[in-house]
Amino acid sequence: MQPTIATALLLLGNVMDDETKNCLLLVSHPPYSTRNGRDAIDVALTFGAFEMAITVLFKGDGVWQLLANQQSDSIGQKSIAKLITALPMYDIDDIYVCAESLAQRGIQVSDLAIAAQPLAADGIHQLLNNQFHILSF
Amino acid sequence: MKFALIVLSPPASVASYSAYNFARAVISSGHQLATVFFYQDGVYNGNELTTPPQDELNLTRLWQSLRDDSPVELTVCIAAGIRRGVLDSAEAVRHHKVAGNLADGFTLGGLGLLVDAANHCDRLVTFG
Repeated sequence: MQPTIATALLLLGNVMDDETKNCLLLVSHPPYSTRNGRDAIDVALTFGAFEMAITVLFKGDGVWQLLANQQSDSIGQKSIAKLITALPMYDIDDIYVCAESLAQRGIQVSDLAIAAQPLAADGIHQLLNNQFHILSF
Repeated sequence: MKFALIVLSPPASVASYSAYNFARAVISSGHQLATVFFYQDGVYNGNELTTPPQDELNLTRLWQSLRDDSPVELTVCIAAGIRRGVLDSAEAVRHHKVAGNLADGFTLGGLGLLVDAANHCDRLVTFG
């Protein structure tokens, strides 16, 4: 059957609709007091499992999520750092951390459980500007 | 424009009511509302057993009325729901519970549906 202009436009619409939209997860809460960090990482891993691009940015008290050697057993919790280190296994490599938030808290990049890329304010501004959706946790 | 909403707060929170009002506004403005995804404590919006006093808002009923009026998907995150005791009858059987309590009009679904909603909407708006 010869496709009509209408069906061609419909198909084009579907293709455009299916185009992946840049999505960023913003994690700004500390670990363990709430499940925000864990829930955010679960969302990121799901994006990864569906082979969809996702960027994760840790900012403010959210940078505490990234610390290596978390001894969360002592408060009856699973380690959030362990979950975060699973991100690259799901091909999620765009992981950023606010450099200013690290400096304010005296945290070095070498203290982190994962190779998150530190970004200054203008870098963060640019990163956020490039997103279609921003999910904040 | 095609919208999807994420609700992270329980029905007692004003954020849930704001989400409901926003959903109504999306539709009445002629836009399309595809999905409301309930995550974190937002899953309590789908708890049939929630029984507020009669002179107070019943968000579960309001969401159901929205679904009666428009073809919106009310999706409760299955992992977040089960963790908090919001189960449909199938999950109740699976986890050996006496009964399910997911309100009519809501469905349990995985985070993949949130990913799908994000990929197919023009605006993704978070409440909570």
